[in-house]
Amino acid sequence: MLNVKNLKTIFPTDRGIVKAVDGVDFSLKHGEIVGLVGESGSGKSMTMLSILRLVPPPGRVDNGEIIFEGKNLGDASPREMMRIRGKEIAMIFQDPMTTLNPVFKIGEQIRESMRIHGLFKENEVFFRDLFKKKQKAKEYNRAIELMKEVGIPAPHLRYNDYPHQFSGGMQQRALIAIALACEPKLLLADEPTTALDVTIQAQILELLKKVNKIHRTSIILVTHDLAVAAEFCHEIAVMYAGKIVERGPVDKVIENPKHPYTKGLLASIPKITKVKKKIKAIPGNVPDLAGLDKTGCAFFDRCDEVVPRCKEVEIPMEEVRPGEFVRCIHYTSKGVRASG
Amino acid sequence: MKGIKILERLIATIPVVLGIAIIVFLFMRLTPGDPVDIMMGKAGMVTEAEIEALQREFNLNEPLHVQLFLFFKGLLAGDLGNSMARGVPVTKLIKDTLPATIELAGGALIFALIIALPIGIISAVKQNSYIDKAAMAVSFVGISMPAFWLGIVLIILFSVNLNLLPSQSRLSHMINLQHITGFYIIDSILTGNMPALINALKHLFLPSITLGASMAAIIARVMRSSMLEVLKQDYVMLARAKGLSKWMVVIKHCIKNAMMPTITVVGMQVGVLLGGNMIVESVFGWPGLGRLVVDAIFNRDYPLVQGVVMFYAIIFVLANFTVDVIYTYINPKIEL
Repeated sequence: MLNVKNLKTIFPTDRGIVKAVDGVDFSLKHGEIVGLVGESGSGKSMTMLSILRLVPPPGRVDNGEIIFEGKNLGDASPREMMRIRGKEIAMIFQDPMTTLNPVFKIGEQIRESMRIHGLFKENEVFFRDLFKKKQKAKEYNRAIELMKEVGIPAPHLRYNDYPHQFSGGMQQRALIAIALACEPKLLLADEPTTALDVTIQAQILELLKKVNKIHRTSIILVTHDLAVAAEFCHEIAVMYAGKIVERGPVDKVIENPKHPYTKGLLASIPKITKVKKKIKAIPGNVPDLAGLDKTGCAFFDRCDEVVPRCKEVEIPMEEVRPGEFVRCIHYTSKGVRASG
Repeated sequence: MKGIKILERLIATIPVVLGIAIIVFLFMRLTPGDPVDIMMGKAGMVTEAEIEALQREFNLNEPLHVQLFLFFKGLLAGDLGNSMARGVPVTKLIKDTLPATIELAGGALIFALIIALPIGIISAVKQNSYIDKAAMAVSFVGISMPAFWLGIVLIILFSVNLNLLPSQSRLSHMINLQHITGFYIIDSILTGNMPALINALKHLFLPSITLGASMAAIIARVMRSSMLEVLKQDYVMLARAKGLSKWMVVIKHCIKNAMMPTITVVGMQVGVLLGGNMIVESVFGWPGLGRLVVDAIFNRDYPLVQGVVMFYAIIFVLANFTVDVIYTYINPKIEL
């Protein structure tokens, strides 16, 4: 249903062009959950915003195709995009505390996208239902239903609450209800559990799983937590410095990681064991994307399998086994020749 | 619940007003110049006995604390004393001139808001565009322009050269209007007097612009900066992701959030409106409180100055109280 090809999103800055998303390819089938994993600043969120064509200026999508249900979103008019946003593709944001508008009631915010997309619009004769009482009643009922579905207790009472009267977990549930309001086909979940504590995290992920099962909603889950992705997703794509470095079915990637970065991420997940072991962190930091127009692998300075050729050639994505892709010099046959 | 809290806050303003009353009373008496001297100066030859009689009439021979006590005693009875220069009760003078001043301040406020809010919003949404730069340049001029200068320029342009609008008083002489409330706009609507309404609006035009110009400039700048802040918020992105257009997001989600700082400034500007109208009322021959108090200050007319300044203080306190109440309606997080 979604096919992203060679997506490039750039930000012009004083220090040169920052390639926030640099040639990302992935695809998603109906009812599938794909995890987009990577450190902060690796371009995961920007990939999501690029799909919705909501990259904040001066940033812009520079290249690539986003085919959603057979339509290239890159060619869609602003009006068409507005019809798709919220209705076909909905997004759940990272920080529920700041994402809900503080001056409107929760219930009204859930109702809003139904109203925008005319979910219950009546073809009434003009003036018969001037104040849209019927439509409002239907929207209200659906909002209550949604609040029940996402697990907000006493929805009739909480409908009239303001965001500050909700706890963090409840706010995130409300955000999910907003995203589900028009039964979207695709849900972009941008670190939906990062701002929450662990027990609430599990509940929210459980809720998303339920939504995926019941409505067959496809989900792209953006996370920096490989453990969360491992448990939740069908496929995983690991991003580093704006590029996907490894992509494949979840069990293959977790059990047999190929890219040194994926290996590093897996090794840095703390395990609860009797013996106290030091967590293996990947040395160094995500590179500054502004200075990153050199050829070669962006991970070379943090990689323990680095060879001199890593910096010299442009490394292509290689399909090592059906459905398994890696972008690493050790898995490419054409690496040497690609430099020309 | 909210009603009770509003009442509580209203009662809490009483000590503020009393404090202001004492300060006004004392400062007026600290200013050099004796009211009796000034009154007598106009009359020419006077005897000691006449001076004493006058002093007794206005209790000026009493010690300060007794005068203060008498002032408060009158205040509680709603009596601000008689004007020394005019011999009329101060309350009557205020009552007669107040509608003119409120009409002018209202005109200025409406002008300022109509001009400033759209400019501030558009400037923020189109940040760094030519529209934004031009609007901010104009608003800078607006802030730095003194009202008396702007008033005179407008009179020269619109009244003298183009002969489009009147420049003096509230109504032309040949227009008859039955006075009910003292607000000429309201009176002419109540009596269905169309010519008077148009005439009164024409008279109100230039003074309102003069008084409202600097306020408009300030509000536009505040609105722009708070709007810029709001546009960066996450909920703006959520609203876009719901499928709202850019401008609908601004109108539905941003303005209400961006209004908070603007309303604060408007509340404070009410004081500026009242202070500034002394100049504007003088330039446009507007028979309001401002002109009354300027005359009273020159005459050392203690009761009248006290009365009017008290009145200003009460309006200022009430304006800021109103702002506090409006906050609670705009932002549910804020409680009284």
